[in-house]
Amino acid sequence: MKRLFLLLLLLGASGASALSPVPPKVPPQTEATPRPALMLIEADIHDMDGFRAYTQAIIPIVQRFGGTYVVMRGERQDLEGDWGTTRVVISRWPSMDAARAFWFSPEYQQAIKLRADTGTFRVTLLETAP
Amino acid sequence: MPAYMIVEARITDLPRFRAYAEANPPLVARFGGRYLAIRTATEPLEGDWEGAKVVISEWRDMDAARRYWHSPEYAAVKRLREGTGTFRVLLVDGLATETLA
Repeated sequence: MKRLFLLLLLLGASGASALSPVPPKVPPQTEATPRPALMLIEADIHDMDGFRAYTQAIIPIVQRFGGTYVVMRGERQDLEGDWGTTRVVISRWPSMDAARAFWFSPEYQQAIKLRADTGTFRVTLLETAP
Repeated sequence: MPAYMIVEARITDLPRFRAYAEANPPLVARFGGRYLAIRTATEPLEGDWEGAKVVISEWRDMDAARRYWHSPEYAAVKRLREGTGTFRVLLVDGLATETLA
């Protein structure tokens, strides 16, 4: 009786897995887990009010795409070279792809227009080290 | 509060710069710094990044990074990169209360 129950259980289990294939829990070895990415923003702002409107607009977009701010408006010290009035902001993303998805999204491409005449900007993406 | 050191380098003499690139990471580690981005993929999104290499390291706080930067050991290592390119280095305080490590 016990053995029959076990047999039914096994049949049931194999039947279920045949009907609804369960994806393997462990990703294949060849597929590397994406490394988090950093977005480095260097900004020289000459219209602070206009720039504030931009930052207010993008905060929810950044959050929606999984970005978090690491550096913003903190104490700073120039150690070498000319940084002038350049402000630095760093945001962190789950992956390079996540950061690209944010940057090239219609929402962000719409919002970025708000900062067009507020200053000059340099932005680069960096994959983090393992 | 963690602090971040951002180095923007334009290397003009890579063979000579390599001596610095080998000597510096152990020193960074000894002073408690951790590289977040070094020799990893980069993708410029806006502005001119032509020829620029960016390195970002994370430190326990601003003072920890300053102890490294102003140490006699780093002064000696830093001489290895003299004349190998142009460098801009900035130290900034982070927002998070925890490090990214």
